[in-house]
Amino acid sequence: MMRLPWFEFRAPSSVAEAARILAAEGPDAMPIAGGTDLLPNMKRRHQTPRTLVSLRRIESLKKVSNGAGLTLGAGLTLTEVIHEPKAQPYGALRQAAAQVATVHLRNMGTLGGNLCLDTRCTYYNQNYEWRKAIDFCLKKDGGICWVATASKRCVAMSSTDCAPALIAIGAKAKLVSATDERELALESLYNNDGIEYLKRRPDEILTEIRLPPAAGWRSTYWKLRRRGAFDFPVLGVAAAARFAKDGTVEEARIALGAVASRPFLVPKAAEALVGKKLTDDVIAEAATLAASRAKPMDNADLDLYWRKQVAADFVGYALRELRGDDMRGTRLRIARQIL
Amino acid sequence: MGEAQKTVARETLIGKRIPKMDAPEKASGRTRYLHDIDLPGQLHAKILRSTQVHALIKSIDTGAAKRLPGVHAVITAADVPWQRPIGVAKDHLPLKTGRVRSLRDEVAAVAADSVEIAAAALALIRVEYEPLPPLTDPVEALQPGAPLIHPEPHGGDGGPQLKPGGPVAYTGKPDNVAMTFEYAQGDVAQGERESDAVVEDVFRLHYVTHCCMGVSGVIAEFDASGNLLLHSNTQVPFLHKREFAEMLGIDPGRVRIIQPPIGGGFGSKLDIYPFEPIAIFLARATGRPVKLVYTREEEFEASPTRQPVLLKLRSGCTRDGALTFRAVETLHDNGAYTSWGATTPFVMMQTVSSLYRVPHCKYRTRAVYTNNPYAGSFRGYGNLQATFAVEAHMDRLADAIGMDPLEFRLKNAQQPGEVTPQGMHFGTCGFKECLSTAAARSAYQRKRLEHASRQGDASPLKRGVGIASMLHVGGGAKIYPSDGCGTILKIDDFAHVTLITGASEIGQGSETVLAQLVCEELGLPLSSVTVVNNDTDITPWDVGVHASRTTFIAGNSAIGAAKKAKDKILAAAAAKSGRASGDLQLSGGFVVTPEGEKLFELGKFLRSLHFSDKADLVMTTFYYEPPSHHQDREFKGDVSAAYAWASQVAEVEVDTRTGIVKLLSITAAHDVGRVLNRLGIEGQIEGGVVMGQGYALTENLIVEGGAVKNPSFRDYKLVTAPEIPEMDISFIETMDGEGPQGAKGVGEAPAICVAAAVANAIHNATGVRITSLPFTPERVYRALRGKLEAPVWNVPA
Repeated sequence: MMRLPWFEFRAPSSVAEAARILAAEGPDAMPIAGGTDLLPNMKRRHQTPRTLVSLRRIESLKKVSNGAGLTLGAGLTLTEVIHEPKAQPYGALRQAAAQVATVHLRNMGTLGGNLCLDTRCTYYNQNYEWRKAIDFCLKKDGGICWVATASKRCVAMSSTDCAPALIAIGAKAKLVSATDERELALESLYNNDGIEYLKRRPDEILTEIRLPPAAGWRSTYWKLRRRGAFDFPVLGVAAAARFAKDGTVEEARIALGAVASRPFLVPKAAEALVGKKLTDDVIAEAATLAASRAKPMDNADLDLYWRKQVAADFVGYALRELRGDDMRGTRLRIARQIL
Repeated sequence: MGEAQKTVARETLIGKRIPKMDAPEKASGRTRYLHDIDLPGQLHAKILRSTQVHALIKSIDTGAAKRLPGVHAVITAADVPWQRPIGVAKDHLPLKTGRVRSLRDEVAAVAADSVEIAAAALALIRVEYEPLPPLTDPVEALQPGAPLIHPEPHGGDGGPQLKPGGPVAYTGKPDNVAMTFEYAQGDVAQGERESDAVVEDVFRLHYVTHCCMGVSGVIAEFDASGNLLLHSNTQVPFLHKREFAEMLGIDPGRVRIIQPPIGGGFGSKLDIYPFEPIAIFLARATGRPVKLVYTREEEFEASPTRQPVLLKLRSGCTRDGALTFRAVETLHDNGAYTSWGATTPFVMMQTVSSLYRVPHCKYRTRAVYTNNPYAGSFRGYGNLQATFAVEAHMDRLADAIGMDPLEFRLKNAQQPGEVTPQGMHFGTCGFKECLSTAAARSAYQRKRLEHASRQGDASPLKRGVGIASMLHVGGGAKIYPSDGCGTILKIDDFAHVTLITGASEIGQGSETVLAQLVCEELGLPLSSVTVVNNDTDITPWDVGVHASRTTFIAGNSAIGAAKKAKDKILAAAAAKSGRASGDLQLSGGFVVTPEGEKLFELGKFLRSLHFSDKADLVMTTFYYEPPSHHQDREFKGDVSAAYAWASQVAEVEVDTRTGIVKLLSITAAHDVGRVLNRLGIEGQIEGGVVMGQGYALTENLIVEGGAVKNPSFRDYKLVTAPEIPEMDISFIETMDGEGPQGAKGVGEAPAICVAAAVANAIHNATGVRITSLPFTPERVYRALRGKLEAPVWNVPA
């Protein structure tokens, strides 16, 4: 791996100042928060920004506030999110954040950084020499997608754990630039394109995540990866549901991560739950529906065939946990921690 | 203050839990590894590797690189016509001449003011290749018409001719067979005729690599008189002295190797590799110290691997459970060059012939050249592969005759005093105790039956237990003309001991164990010893740290030196006190009587010797060579003075819906001769088990078309903390008569039979036998559904 390329480093203390710098510098500038993904990527020359605009000194990005629901600053570290008392009712978020990478990386990496995480691919997440040896790829410096050579589109995979969790919860994202600010449903932040995977403009900063009130809702996140630490997801299943007193599902959302270039909702699977109690049959039907939307590509750890085969199992785990089953044994097997 | 105590009680350090002497420095981050050393005027080197799996080098243009400011030297093979092939088979030129044979091949190298400038210079070197058909399948290597990897002599293939009368070149090979091993005892056909049950399987073992935290590296410099100084991570400093001297055509006495603390070896630093001579060439070309340290990717791509093996095993036994024969044929992917990996059959055949009593045995191996990365030595040295196959068959044969697998093993297990048909003499042998202890502590027999009875249950979660055992050298390994180690010991005026040993420390804790053994002889606390072990100009000869030999060999050597020092002190004390020296002892820092009565304080007494009329310093030397022999040409005989034994029981849980295997526990029983440092040996065994677990479950160096596809810790899946199983470790103390305080080697043993035990446990849980590694969820999922392709033996005869 190469050393870091040269770059300018700016460390503004307000969002407005950061936005001004980004606007002035243009697309050659990138915001950096924890840097746990960006800096290694720069060493591999995936990104070579001329200017890095650090968000770490901006206190307002660390805010946690109640309103109608909960607003989390994008600059909170994942560890802070895990331990934030006000975030405890949002089980899926805590479970997702707690399964990102390792404790050291969670101490540095931020919620906003995880939501904006670069898409990943076996042919992309390699050092410069390695990529050069295969004549690069569509996502960076090359003209061909090595995963699907006929593909015109980059199929690099969304690898954020927090996004599917927050999408299932129904979160919104706030983007601020020097000239305007806007709020959009979190799922709308993403494109199904491995290169242009974010709708965030280069001059925009993701400042806040707004979560709706948690009352009546339960949510959960299940992550498939090879080991109990460190690994990126090769499947993320988030599910959230609002239950009537008798256990009937009144409203539900199921989101999948790491099976496309974006995290996405599977409304059909969620609809299959509404008005019903979570019986084994209902769970099985929804799991099959959700799993049928999981179309992983052969560009990540663990083989494709198998990842497809177990997708329904993972949706099932999530729904059974929502139902209130004691899933601790399965959690220990899958996540190697109780969560 | 009360009256000073007049006696000392005898205390022993043996068997105690003693923290490693280097632990405070390492735990506090103060240890200065090779990476932390920068010499004045030092340059930084980088190597340009091939972009082709197999090709002819048509031209190399280094002009632009040489002109880059900050670059001090750019070299190719043309600049060092006197370089000579290295490695076991001397088939490997450090800088490649006419042909590249794998992606790791060194084509050019740069020394510059900084790593960044060196990297920029590499990018300016233009190499023109003429691609050749690649050979990346070892089976294909034996087919007629396969591309040849070493058809021409090295040095004569378009590059400059070697000087007449100068060093020899590799002569080239008309086929792709790098090395063969054949061994036989008895008559396998007769064994098969006497068998009531015969089983045959083909096993496929994969690539894994060492993953040392400290990557490969060296700093080379010449002084004004042309003496070479290397700061090196090598495991074999004294052998390297000679290799480098031959390479440079200088007297080996002019080569000095200093080993900074080494961040792990596991066998990876046992051979000479091109980067070392290349750093030396650059140091010579520039007249400056040259530091060359691998990046992590380079460590994955360009350092050696455990050798992938295709193995066919046929075994038989009688109805009443006596093994009758074993026939093994294996094919090893040697890679493009020959390193120690090619010689691992030498260990594999011992497991095949002598782990259990087998009257008739046949073993044949061919290591073949391919354009893949090349295989080196790695903790266990072929034994993981052999044990995986042999122990699978112990279960299969037991099944075939309806015998309990533990009973079957006990019936065929070696015992003390046995001489095997291969000529191995087992003095101490705690094998049966290992088997019964591991089985009892894990409730193996009860659980095996329970788990098997639940295979058909509705629950998707299945548990299983599996047992496997291993035999490995535990008293050195005589593969070089000498297997010895020297010690120099001095005791200063303040009763402080400096132990100067040839044995290298690679993190295994040898310093602490050697200091303990010396303290035990001299009756001193551990704080009284300084160990010097890292400078060939100071330390006496040693063959290197490998083969689980250091505690045994260097330990005996250290004891020998300490005994001589003790004799000398006690003789002087006897003369001074008028007692017989046989009546005196050293204890607690004093010369004492058999009753423990203090006669002299040791420091004071040593000063009196030193400052007397017949002034004397207490300094001794000792050289220990173990009583083992070279095998004969048919591989018969002993190579080790003692053998280590172990049995391990794995318990797993298999989720049959997903194929995810969780290793719940390892119950290990190891015949270690005697526990010297309980904390150290537990650490060795825990670390080894985890290494074996990685081999069994997660680690896989993916090599496709000659390229390493996962050269990073993100994609090469080492076991992480949450996966580590519960461990229950028992020590079988057989008190080996040759061992230091009775101890035998244990360095490699714990990694060897984990995968075999896990395989048997998965079979117990699911009824499915998987004959290829690793047991990833995908593989297990497919196997459970009958969709896993079993390895086939399609190797040309």
